[in-house]
This record gives sequence, C-alpha cells and structure tokens, in this order.
Amino acid sequence: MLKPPSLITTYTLIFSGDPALVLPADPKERTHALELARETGRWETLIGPDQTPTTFELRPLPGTAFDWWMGTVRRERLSDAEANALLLRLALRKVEHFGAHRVELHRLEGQELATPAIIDALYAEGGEAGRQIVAELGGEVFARAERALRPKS
Amino acid sequence: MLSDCERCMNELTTERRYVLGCGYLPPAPPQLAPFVRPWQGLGYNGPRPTTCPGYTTQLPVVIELVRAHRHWAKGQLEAFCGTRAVPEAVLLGVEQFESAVGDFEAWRLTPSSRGGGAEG
Repeated sequence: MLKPPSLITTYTLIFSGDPALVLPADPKERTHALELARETGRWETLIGPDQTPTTFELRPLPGTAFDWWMGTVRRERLSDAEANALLLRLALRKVEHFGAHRVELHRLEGQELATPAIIDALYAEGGEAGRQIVAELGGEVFARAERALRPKS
Repeated sequence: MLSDCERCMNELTTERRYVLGCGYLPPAPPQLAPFVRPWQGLGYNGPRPTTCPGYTTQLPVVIELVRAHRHWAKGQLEAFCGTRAVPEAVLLGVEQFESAVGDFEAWRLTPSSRGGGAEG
C-alpha cells in the first residue's frame, strides 16, 4: 500500500531507478516527476501497467533520533555510505515486494532501527543499484529530517 | 476549478496552467515565466504566490497540518499525533497556520474602506 507523505506517521518512497517506474526521458522532466510524486504521494501515475515496484515505508525521524545519528556519524567517523545506511535504518519500517526480505527492528543506544540485514540484502540483490537506493533514500530521509516543512508559496 | 485539479488539468491548456502556477507542471518556460500569476485571496498582501493554491492546499502534509490545527485548538494534538512527543515540524506548521488564520480574521473584521473584507 502506498502511503502519502506525512509529518506524523509513516510514508512510502520508491527508488527512482525501480524498473516498475515509467519516467520521462528528459532529465528535467524526470526530476520534476519524481519530486512531484514525493510531494503529493501520487506514485500511481509513474508506475507502469501491471508493474509492482519495491516500496519502502519510512517514518519521519524524531529530533532525538536525528541528533543521535549526527552524533554517531561524528563520533564514529562514518563514511558517507555508512552514514546513509544508518540513517535509512533509523527511518525504515517496512519493505514490500522485495523478495522474501522483511524489515526487522532492534534497539541500539535507545534508538529503534532496522537491522543491517535489510541493507545487506539491498547491496546483495541490487548490486550497484542497491547502493544507489541507500544513497537516494538516505538523502531523502536527511532532507525531511533537516527541513520537514518545505514552504511552497 | 481552483479546488479541482483533475478538472483543471482536463479542461485548461498547458499554457494557461503555467500562468496559474500549476504545481503539477515543471517550472514555467522562460517565455511564460513573467506571466505566472497564481490566484491569491482577497486582502492578501504578502509575497506573490508562486504555485496555485489548488495544488498546495491538497498536498497531504498541508491537509495533515490543517487537521492537526483543529485538534490543537481542542487541546487534542497529542492524541491526534498518537504520541506525547509531538513532532517539532507539526508544532511549527500549526503555529504558521494559526498565524495565517489570525491574519485572515483580522482582514475579515476590517472595514473595506480600510482595506479589509467587512462592510463599511
């Protein structure tokens, strides 16, 4: 089920490179189509007929979780890839249509986050795309955590 | 039309939608950009809007904040959010919306002779 953007509850994101998406060839139009879907939650218009994309259900990060992530990145001197993966694990609550893989949660230093197994599965099955998924979704989680309200007059 | 995006997209030309600041379209091409004039409410004198309010007012996050505002007004924001730790962004959004409601009420009660929306 696709869930609309929310400041309170979980929302759905789809990786821009998901083969189930039909995106415009023009890079500017492609970027706009993806921004629109992320803003309105209307992914249906981008999904090809009889296609089922992998969907990622994420939570808006509480301020304390985001602070913990920033502190951990600094303390542990994490690489960009590690930082993205950790941020995605903090927000990720469910993955659908990704084989038999499921998100399992555990607690670490008072934070509830997905176990590394789901990131390993993305890397293992997605190849280079797996890393792109983590980078793209992690980036979107960061943007929403850093500036949840993006004014559009 | 303003509150019915589907109808608007079906009935208006793309050029007209650009001029109205349709949020479903990419930024207007340079030849149309100077003519983009989204609708703005009576009495509004803030910065010129860049996007049609028909689009912005139907965004899920905006609808969520308007709902949150209604619950906040009844002291039920925590119950609405399902947590005692109401997200900071929700509080900020509710504050901004409450401020806008205040501005509107002030305009509504001001006589038209002084630039408001009331008679007189």
